[in-house]
Amino acid sequence: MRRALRGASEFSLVPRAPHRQNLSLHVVGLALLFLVPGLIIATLVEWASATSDGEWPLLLAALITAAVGVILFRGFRPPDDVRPSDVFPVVVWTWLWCSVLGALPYVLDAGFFGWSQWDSALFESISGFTASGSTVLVDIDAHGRGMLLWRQLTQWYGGMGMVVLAVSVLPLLGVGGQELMRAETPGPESDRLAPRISGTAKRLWLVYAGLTVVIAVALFAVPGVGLYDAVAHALTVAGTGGFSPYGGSIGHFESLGAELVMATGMIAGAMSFSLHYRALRGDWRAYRRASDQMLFLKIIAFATALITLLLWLRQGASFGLSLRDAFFNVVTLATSGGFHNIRPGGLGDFAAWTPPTQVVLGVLMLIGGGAGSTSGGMKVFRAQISAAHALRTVRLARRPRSVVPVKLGGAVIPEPVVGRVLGFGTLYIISFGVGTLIVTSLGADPVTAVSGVISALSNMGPALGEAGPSSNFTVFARPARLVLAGLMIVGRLEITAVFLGAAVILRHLHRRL
Amino acid sequence: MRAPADPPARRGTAGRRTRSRASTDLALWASLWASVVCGLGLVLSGLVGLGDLAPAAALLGLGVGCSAVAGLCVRRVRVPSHPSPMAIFAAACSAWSMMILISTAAYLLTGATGSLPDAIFESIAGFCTTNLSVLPQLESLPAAVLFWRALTQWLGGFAALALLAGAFPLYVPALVLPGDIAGLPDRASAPPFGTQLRRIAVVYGTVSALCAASYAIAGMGALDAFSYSFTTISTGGFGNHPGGLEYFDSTAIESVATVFMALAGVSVVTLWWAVRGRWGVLWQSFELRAYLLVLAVGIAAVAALTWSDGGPAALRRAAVTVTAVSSSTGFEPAGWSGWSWGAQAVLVALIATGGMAGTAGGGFQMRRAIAAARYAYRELVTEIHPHTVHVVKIGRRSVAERPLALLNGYQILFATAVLAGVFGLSLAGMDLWGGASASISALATMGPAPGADLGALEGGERIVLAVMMVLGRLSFFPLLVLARGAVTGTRRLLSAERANGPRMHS
Repeated sequence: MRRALRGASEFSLVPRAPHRQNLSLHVVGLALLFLVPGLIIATLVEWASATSDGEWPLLLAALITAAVGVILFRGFRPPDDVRPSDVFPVVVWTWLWCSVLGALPYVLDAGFFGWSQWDSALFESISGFTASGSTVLVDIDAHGRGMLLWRQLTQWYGGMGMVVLAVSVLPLLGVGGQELMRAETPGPESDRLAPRISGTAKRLWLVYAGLTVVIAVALFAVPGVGLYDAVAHALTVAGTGGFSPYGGSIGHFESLGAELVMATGMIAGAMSFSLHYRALRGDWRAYRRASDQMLFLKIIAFATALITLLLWLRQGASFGLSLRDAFFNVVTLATSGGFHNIRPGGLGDFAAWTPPTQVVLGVLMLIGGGAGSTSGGMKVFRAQISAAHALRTVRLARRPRSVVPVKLGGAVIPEPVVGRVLGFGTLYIISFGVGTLIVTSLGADPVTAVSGVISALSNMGPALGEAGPSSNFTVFARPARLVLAGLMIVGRLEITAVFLGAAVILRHLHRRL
Repeated sequence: MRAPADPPARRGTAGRRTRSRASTDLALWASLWASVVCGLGLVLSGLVGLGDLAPAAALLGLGVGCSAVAGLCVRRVRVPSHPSPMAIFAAACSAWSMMILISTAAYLLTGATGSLPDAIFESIAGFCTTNLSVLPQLESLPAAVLFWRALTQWLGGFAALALLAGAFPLYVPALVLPGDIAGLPDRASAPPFGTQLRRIAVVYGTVSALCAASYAIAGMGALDAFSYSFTTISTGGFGNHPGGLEYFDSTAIESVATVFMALAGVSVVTLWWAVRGRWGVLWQSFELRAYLLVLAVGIAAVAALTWSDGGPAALRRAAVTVTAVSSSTGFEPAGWSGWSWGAQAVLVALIATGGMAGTAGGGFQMRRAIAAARYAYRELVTEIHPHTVHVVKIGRRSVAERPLALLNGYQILFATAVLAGVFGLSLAGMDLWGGASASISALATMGPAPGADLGALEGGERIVLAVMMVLGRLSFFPLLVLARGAVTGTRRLLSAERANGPRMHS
């Protein structure tokens, strides 16, 4: 019926309002409405803390966000037929709108960033919603608890968005968990936990929320960690974000227990949530079947051992201290968490470690966590497929007509998936190269720039060089920060989605013009 | 079927025995010829440097000895009529080793350096056409040694091109488009190896002679003109004086160098057609246009980023530096480690990209970069339109899927090698930026690197850089295949010994 009407309207003199039908804006409205409860909670916390007066900016932001959300959600409806290629602009727009409106509390509060530093506010918000954890906030401890809680919440929302992304968008790209699962599990199971995407998303959100609660409880059990601290950190650990309401991050607590809880939480956040779901349903062997997740754990173990040795032998630290700091920092970098544990008497400032150690850290940042998780980076399975492909090309060069499949955990990966992973590699190199050239041209030194760009693309948080954990991203020039924020979005949406979204949007604009 | 392109396919199990004997013959033959050529080169160097009798006599003696002995022996070695590409590559490796051996002996005999590691490193750098010199006090070296040093790079560059044509199928994946090195559409109609070699020699020799003449006209002395033309055309970069081209402080010389370095970054095939007067080929070459565009953009970017330091002089400096870097020649300007970070990053990016495929230069090379970008674009389009079939093209020519797959593997190996190099150099004590830029530069057979002080190399650094140079010069696939072959060969040998052991006892 609707189709017929649409066909008829092409001939009518009264133009139909085509802008009323817009999937992107409809979804953006929905996402913005999700943000409102978070803003209200932050307002209440700020109001209750009574040491600061950021409640009005937060409340105003909540009202504006709610209004915009309602207008967009009610004012636009999804089109009658949604094609796969329509999804990519949706994702890009959602992250952009959330980041822009999420920055409202920061600019409305003159004591936080204010309007004069709109770019810093945007950076902080993008860093939050992409669960990166790079910050340009200078004196973190001086700000109100509610504002800082909102900052933590943006990362939690970012992780939540990532979970949806993993079940709805990435499978379309052929690089999500599903293809791999199908290839790796012998039975008819797949990444799909419920018949509909929304059902799967709800289940995974439950896992995500449950993980957050568990981490919060475990942190609260550690002596010296208050309720607010436990909740605030749990929000960013589950999303492998990296924000902390303290300038000293985890080093603030000077507690081994807190570090261990956080590290365990980050590892859980950097592994596939659908595997967690299966495990909760009693299928513990699901972990063992996913070769990329197991490799991820092995990488952490190997890197910890290597860095412990390098710290112990080359920097002359005691073995216990080396092991503690190597483990925490390897986990925080490999899971793209981005917390740090700089404390008196510790080795937490990894930007000051010896160069070989930093090369290892850079590689960990590059690789990232497992598929279907909230971590960033190029993901372990891509590294696996790339390595397997490189090895087979050696054989192909020797015997040009042989047919060698790429295998992962004993199962053959379909060639289209391999092709996409390889295309992803080139897009990564292009994003990395262009980003580095721009950031160095704007005055950053190469080590800071290269690690900053990798950190942004991997949604890590701190970088090496001058932008290390003891410092922050204010070392970059203001235009460079915006470039890095853009790279965070590129990295969060797995590069391909952004390039595709841009291609679709450009084509759309071209058609309009 | 393109039978000659795929000798492994023709090879049955029965042919294995003859092939292995043939390849040994070929390796011996190649190394003997290498010593003949090196010997002649040494004699030439000795004659050039007759003014200083002692080193000249040493070189003359070594040269006459090498070429006479090898020349007598080489007649007794038979060459297989259809060697496999792998056998050709193995032969090239042994020839390379022989040349490095002779050159090491030359440095030690003339007293250019007293230390064996120095002499070996200098020889490797020379034959890999990389500008990483460890010889102290260049100006005090006798003319004969300087001439020989430049000649090693010239020979290394020629050998690299000959290898590209000879062990061609092994380089196809790396080159993406087959046949271009021969200047013809595909392998089936490619001229025989001898013809290709002659064409390469004509192009290489002509351009070198023109370059030497231009240098002489621009004001260099005879020795310098020849030495610098050798190292310019081979994309080597050794100089007779410290401080690169800035030593001469002459706009004319720098302009000549810029033009000829840019030419050295152009594929020999393209140059061959230019020599033959087929200018149309130049315009049709998409890769050439991309190369020139990258040069222009690179010069503009570097000039803009260093403008504050010298104004218009920055443009001239940028032109020389960018062509030296893009073609992986590696004449380095003084004090480039002090340039703005942006300029240094642009230079390193240009080093990694390199010039055109089919040159003596290194780097990732333009054609591969284009193909990789096109491949990524194709994968993107496939996401939107999953059912269409897209063919990756360079210019107007389509690229087959198999070379594309190999290109992607090459890309991964390249990135891995750079990372491994940075790790190795940082373990050896370099800082991160210096290590990264030196590792990329050595892999691209360039040599000097912005931000890295390569003046006094330590043992560990030398080993890493030498490995990177050899990887960059001989390329990944052949070396890895050779390594794989060596491993399986050794294993087979060991298992055969084990199997034969009891029988021999009985």
